[in-house]
Amino acid sequence: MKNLKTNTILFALIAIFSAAYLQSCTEEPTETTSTKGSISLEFEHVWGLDKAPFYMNTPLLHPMTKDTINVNLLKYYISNIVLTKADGSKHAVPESYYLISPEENSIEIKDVPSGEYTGIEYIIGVDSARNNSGIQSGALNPSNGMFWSWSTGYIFVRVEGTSPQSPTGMFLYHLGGYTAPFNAINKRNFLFVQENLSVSPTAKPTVHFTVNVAKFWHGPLKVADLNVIHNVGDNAVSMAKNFSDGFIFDHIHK
Amino acid sequence: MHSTIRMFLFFAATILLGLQSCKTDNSNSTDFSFPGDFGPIAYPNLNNIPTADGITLGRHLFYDVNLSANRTISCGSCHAQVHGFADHNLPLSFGIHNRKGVRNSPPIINLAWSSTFMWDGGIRHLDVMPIAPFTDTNEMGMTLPLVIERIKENPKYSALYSKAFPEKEINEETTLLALSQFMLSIVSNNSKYDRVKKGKAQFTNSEKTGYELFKTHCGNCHTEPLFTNGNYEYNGFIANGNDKGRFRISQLQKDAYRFKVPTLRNLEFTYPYMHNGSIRTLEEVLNKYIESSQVQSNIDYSGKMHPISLTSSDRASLILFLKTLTDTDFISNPKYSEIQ
Repeated sequence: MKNLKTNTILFALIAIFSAAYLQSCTEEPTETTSTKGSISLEFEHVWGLDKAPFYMNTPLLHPMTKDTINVNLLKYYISNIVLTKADGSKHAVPESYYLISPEENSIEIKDVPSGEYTGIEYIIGVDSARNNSGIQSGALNPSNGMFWSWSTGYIFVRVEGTSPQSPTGMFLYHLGGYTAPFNAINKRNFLFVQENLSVSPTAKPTVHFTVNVAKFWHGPLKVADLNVIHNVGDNAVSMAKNFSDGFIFDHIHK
Repeated sequence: MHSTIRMFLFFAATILLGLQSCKTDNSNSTDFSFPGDFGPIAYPNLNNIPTADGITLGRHLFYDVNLSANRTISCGSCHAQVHGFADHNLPLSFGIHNRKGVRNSPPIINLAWSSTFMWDGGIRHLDVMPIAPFTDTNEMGMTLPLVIERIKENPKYSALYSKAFPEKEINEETTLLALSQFMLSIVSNNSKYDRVKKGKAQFTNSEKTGYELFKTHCGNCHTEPLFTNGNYEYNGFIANGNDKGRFRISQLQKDAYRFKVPTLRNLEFTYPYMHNGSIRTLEEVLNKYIESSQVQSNIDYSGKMHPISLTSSDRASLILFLKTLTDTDFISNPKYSEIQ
């Protein structure tokens, strides 16, 4: 009889400890009080300041240099996306690294806290830390052809094509570099003038940007002067800056 | 009473399962740890500390010729254990279709203590280092997706990967992490020099003389105990004027013709010397340095060089000291050898 009682107490103790162990393994419940929604960013590629349509694999007359430019590859990184509210509070989109091209020009961002956002900022390129963080996956997988194997770091912007004005008939610009004095990271900051970005579980708004591809040649360099960039340097910095200046907030689809 | 025992066992099992489920890391047993000889490691990825299974997978990949375009070249082809993981005494290495590379294959040793790689230091993380030889058209001539495809076609890898990286796939990440683990495990720290430092051996008189000369004339750049300061230096012998070394990476004039200081460990096995393999013997290397150090413009540009004059007996002693950096255990250690 006494034996049985001891066993009962022992069971009880064991049961309590087991429960405690199991408890310690469960994740802390995440807060679900505030609601969330998703938004999209769309990058419409245009040609020239008057936003003429841009086409890949098509000879286009450059509005400033009058060179004929035929782009057959265009890819670039958009990263470190931050949304701003009117009160100045910010929502930094976690792990926001996206590879954009005319073929894949839209990003969906999930789990944005509901609310009224008045602006957005992002990097055209990859922040310096993630240029040298070892082997990464997703948009930052080196298999995407946007990684310099011989000089660690990402190609932020890659544009290639042909032009009769080029001394070799082709052009190839691989723009990157994340340390001084050849830092080609460009951060842009946009206000949503006249309209807010309203995020809620039911709405699926899209923020629409135009990207002027002709901007690559808006600097002092024409395709005849410089048809290859495949390394860090002043030319990469200057061309990456030109390109990033060609991003313009256009409108929001509600 | 029987039911008591049964219940007891049930509860005990519950606890064990509970404990088991708390284990979220996939750490498996390892027979490897970093020795303390060289101070803290420089390898930044502390989530990828070598395990026995990770090293084994990396070793299989390191010696797999199928990971080159025409299935003829592995990492081990140009980084041979018998040559201290440098090439087979070739000035420049040959890749697929006998294509010639542009620089001498550097030895893969003690890389855990290095934060930059290659003669120009262009690669700044060990985990992405193999992408260069995989994709260079003069070396293995692959694309990274094709490397993964070739690995997947070989049935042996499925088990090796799941052991090394449970619950992860065969992909770029796991492949490069495994190669890092094998390379990190390649440690050479048992030369006569090391044994002397540990009080287990003694230099001869000539070696002692050589060591003092070494500290005076060489140790600024070939810093002990790794025998490199990891910096880019200029030695004044521009044998290949087309190769501007560090300049290729930094694009800064001050870096033109500077190359990363190589380790001197195992240099008896790693000849010929210099970034382009242009000098065959240690005697010639010493002569070149002595010659170069007489030129004021070299001294000015280098910033570290000073005029050196050595008698022939000094030169012989210095070379005897350099040979104490030979680690014969290392080049015959079966842990690193090709898997048959």
